[in-house]
This record gives sequence, structure tokens and C-alpha cells, in this order.
Amino acid sequence: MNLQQLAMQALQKNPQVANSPQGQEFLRILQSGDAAAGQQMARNLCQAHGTSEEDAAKQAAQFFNIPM
Amino acid sequence: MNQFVTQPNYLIPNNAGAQPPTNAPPRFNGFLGRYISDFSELTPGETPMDGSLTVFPTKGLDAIYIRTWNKDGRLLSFRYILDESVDLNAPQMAPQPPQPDYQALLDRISSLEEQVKKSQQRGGRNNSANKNEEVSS
Repeated sequence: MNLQQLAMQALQKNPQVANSPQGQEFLRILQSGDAAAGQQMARNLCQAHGTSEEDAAKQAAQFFNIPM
Repeated sequence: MNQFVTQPNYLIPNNAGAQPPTNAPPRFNGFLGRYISDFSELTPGETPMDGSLTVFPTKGLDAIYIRTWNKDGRLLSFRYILDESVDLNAPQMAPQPPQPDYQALLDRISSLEEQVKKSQQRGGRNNSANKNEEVSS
């Protein structure tokens, strides 16, 4: 089982993700690999939170300990 | 404000001991929300991302805002405005069933009675004529 499958399983088992319509859509996007839908969801979330896409990317990188 | 650090990270190695909750938290069976002075004071974080509705009445109760997250990541907002054109405190009259037009019914019955009488009279005359014929023959 690779890291991607592990991550997917962890998300699917998380009730906050599995029990919400947005979480289900997020899982669907991840499973189908629909990059355009994923980008659109990310843009919508950034817009709703009043955050620029660059700032959100920085915060996500910081959260996942990914060097930018 | 960092919006992404509110939940424990279950994926990175130094946090591997943390396990995701196995049971779903009890779902709040009501509405979340609060009184607001103005819509602009609302923040996205006040609406949970689990698909539930949050309700924000204004302090003067002239409007109620309802917010929910759409599944595609948009925060939907609806505004309901007070409608004072209808006095909801006035006693409400129950709708009355339509009343039959009794006079029209009586007229119709009278008309039918007359027709029956005429018919009987005609029938009586015919019968007596037949009897006469039978006698004469």
C-alpha cells in the first residue's frame, strides 16, 4: 500500500470528511483525479476565506512540512 | 490567521501516534449561529464545513442570514427579510367550504316536480284513451 492509498484511507475514515457533502466531493475529486474540479474547489475556498491562492499554498506547504 | 492548523495532522510521521476519531461526533441537532449587527461581521469560520446551516438574525430582527458551505467549496449566503405586509398576529380565518346554492336547488326540484306532474297527467290521459278504444272495440 503506497502513501497515497494510506492518505486516502485516513481521509475516508475521518468522519468529519466522510459525513460532510464537501468532504465527499473532496474524496470524489481525489479518487477520480479531476484536477480541474480540485483547482476550482481550492479557488472557491480561498475566495470564501478571503485568502489569496499564494498564501493558501504557503500555509498548506507549512502545514505539510513541504519546502517551497 | 492560519486556517489549516486547527486539526491534528494524522499524516506526517512526527504525529503518527494521533489516530483519527473512529466514531462520528454527535451531530448537533439544531442550528448554530448568533445575533449580528451587520452581515459584514460574519467570518467563514463561523459556518462548519459539514454541510449544516448557520443562522444569523440581525439584532433588530429585520433580516436573517443563513449560511452553508456548498460541496464545491463555495460559502452560500441567503438573506430573509422581514415582511410586514402581512399581520401574522391577526386571527386567521379558517377557509370556509363553499356553500351550496339552496335557492337554485329548490328551483331545480320545483321544475322537476312540474315536469313529473305534466308527464303523469299526459300518461293518465293516454291510458284513459287506450281504455276507451279497448272498450269500443
